[in-house]
Amino acid sequence: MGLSRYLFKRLLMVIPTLLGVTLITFTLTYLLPGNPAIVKAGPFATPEHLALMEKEMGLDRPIYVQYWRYLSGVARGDLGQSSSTGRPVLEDFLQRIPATLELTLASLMIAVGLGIPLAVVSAVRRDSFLDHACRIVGVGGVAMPTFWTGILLLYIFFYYFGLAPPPLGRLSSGVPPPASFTGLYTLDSLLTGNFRALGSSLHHLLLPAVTLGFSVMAPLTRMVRATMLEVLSSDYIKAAEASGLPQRQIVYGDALRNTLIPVITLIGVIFGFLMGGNVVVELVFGWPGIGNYAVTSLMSKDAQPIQSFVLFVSVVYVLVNLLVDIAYGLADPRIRLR
Amino acid sequence: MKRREGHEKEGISRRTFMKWAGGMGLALPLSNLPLAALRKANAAEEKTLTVAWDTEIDTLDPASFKTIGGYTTIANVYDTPIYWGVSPIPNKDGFFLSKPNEFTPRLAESWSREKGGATIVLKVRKGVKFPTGNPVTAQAFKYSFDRGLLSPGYMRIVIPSLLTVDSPDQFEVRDDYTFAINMKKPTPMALDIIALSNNVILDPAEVKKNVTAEDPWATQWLKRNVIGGGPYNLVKNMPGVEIILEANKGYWQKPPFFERIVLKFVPNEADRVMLLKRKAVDMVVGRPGLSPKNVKSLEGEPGLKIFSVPDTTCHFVSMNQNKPPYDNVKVRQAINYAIPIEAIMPNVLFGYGRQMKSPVPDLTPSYDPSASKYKFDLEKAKALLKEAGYEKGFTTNLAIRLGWAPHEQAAIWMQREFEKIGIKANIVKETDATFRQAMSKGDHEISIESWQSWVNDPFYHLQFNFNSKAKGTNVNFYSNPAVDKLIEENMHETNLEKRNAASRQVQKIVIEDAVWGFLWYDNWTRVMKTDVYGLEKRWDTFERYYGAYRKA
Repeated sequence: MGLSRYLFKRLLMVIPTLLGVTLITFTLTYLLPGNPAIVKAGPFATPEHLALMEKEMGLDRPIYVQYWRYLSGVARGDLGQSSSTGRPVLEDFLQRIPATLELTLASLMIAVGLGIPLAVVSAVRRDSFLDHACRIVGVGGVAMPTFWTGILLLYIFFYYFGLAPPPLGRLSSGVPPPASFTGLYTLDSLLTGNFRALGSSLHHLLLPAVTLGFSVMAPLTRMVRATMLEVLSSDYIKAAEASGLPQRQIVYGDALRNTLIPVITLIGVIFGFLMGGNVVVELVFGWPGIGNYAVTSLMSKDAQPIQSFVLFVSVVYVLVNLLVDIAYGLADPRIRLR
Repeated sequence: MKRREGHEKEGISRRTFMKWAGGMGLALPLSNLPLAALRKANAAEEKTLTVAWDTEIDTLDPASFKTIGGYTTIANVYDTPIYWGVSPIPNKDGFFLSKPNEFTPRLAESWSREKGGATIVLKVRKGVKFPTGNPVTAQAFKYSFDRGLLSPGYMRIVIPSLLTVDSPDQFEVRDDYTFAINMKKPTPMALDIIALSNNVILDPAEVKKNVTAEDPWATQWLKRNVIGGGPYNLVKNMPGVEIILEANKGYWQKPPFFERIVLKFVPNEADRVMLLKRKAVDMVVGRPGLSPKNVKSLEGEPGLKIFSVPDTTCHFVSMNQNKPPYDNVKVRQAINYAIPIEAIMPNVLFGYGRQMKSPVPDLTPSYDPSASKYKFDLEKAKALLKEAGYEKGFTTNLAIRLGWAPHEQAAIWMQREFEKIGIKANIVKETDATFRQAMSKGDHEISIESWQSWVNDPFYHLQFNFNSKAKGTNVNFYSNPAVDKLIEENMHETNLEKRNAASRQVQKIVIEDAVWGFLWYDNWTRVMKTDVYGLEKRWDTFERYYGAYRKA
């Protein structure tokens, strides 16, 4: 009973948050300079033509009317039209979200799969050579901007050695995409046993995923290491050590489990960050995700896709926070009481 | 040549690998199978042209104003009545260029003039069919031109002003294969306007299937759908990824060499350079697909060649005459004397452009550089500022478009010299959309602008840029009744000698009035693999891939 009430309250709180988000995104794009009607009408447009265009696009209505139209559209799943692709924004988004999701999940797997073991090792062997090496790798990942890492990796592996595929999307030309279930090419090709598409999609995914994974690995590693050190110096670990339990069991059995609780939150935050922070990496690798779409739209002041992008990223954050809260609520009854 | 070697090397290494794999225990008949498939794949690669660019299709409605991606697609999937003709370029094997007043027949097999040129009669080519099987007729011609004039696009602005047609009655069907355009008066620009890719011929039956009560010309449907009839079909349009064109099997001419054109969306210029160097694409197109600096860096790159020809795109400093001190001709002249053009040409354009000596492009009839008088001379600039009463100089905003490398570099060169005569220029970078809004509202003080006339005609060009009534395109807000009068009186003048003399007179006045800060004319530059041939550069700069081919 307590849990369902907690869930209900938590879900209810999502509504004003999202409303606030739509208000902000709408106002931001409204205030952004640049008149989309001018772009649409072309350089030879007469003032009358322009006025007609503005009327067609609803730009002559008062701001609150425009906001209401936008909001009711969003509620119906109508995110407006993109002026640079001429398609409904929702259609563009549905086409691109799987690409971004695939990249995000892959880079998260790289960050978690490499970051956590590295952190554990550096915590256990504190101040060893390995610990310092991890620190350098970690700091490097944060310090190097992703566009730089991306271009560097492309230069080395694509341009110089010719090992990586050209930055032209998710599959080699000539490889037809696998039958679509999830839109994630790697997963779909696995499901359908299409190994040609699987190889090609993994090949294309590798460099961008490494670039992105590398950029978020550092905070993860630092946090896990710090928590691990704290846990390792706590009384119950000391007690375990004193009772002569094997080191292996202490570290991987007791210490790591307790370390991972705060990490869940961090992974949630990283996931949200990656869904929205893909922008630069997608641009560098020509990855056809929503980040790339947002940048292209921003350059041409294509308002609807920008609004939708911000809205989408906010919704992802809200959902991730909700899930993290629920997971916490399930794991720790004390949180529900508040 | 070099590319072929690389290509073969790859093939051989794959083959060697197959043999090696065969030796490792694969049965011989089995190893032959992938080999055959491999050869087939190579042949398909041979017949596929992969192009990188940074534009997408915003709309496929022929009558609309579009992105470069939209225009290029339309120019390849439909046919126009006539084309701008192209001729081979001497010493450039396999490249072609438009010359003024040269046209070739397409869906119109011939044309003639009546009533002193006021009527243009187009003879429709017989036996050509739309993909639906319906024949191409004079009725289809009329429907398509009517649609341009009446649908909410961009042709409804162009046709009345440049073709002097404002009623569909002036588009006349004489019989199934004779179509006449009855203009109010003869105009030397008529054929140029007809050749615009916006005037592609649509299958009326298909359009009519998709009209609605509030949309009588099916603009909504044509935005995203292609009826076709041109040399290529649009088989895929995946925004952010690629556009794929495939040869139209039922085309009325022999099939093109390239069976597939793959247009890859690569927004990052550094990536486009890398893709060329790795030969992962055949060619980079777009405007500007590569900045002159990057083109320069690709000179001499093995396996690549550069095709660069003069183009009519003008780059200039626009000075808003509604904003003091730019209402003062002496200030505008001083700016012209303070532009370090001799330094900009080699350091920004790297030889891929020509210095601008007239407001009319050097490829356009009646171009006259003799009135040009500006050269870099700071003393003279200072003296002019003093005469204008700005001895101490002033502060100004110099607006440029974000990401246009030559403009950014030229702005920095100018900023440094302006400083020396007391003009403190703050460089303001704006996105394309912001820039255009500020421009049309008249918010810019000075900015670096570019203009390309699709119709290579002096009065088409002068009308848009210097007539005070050309709102939205006369970005300097220049107003000179003498110039207005000369332009309006000679716009449709058929006595070419008189017309060209008038154009020269306008050029002289505009140079004297220092309407623009004269910078440069662009080159049209494409970098491609050495085995790509048959590129045709027309006035509108959009590639038609029908004539392209690969040759070892």
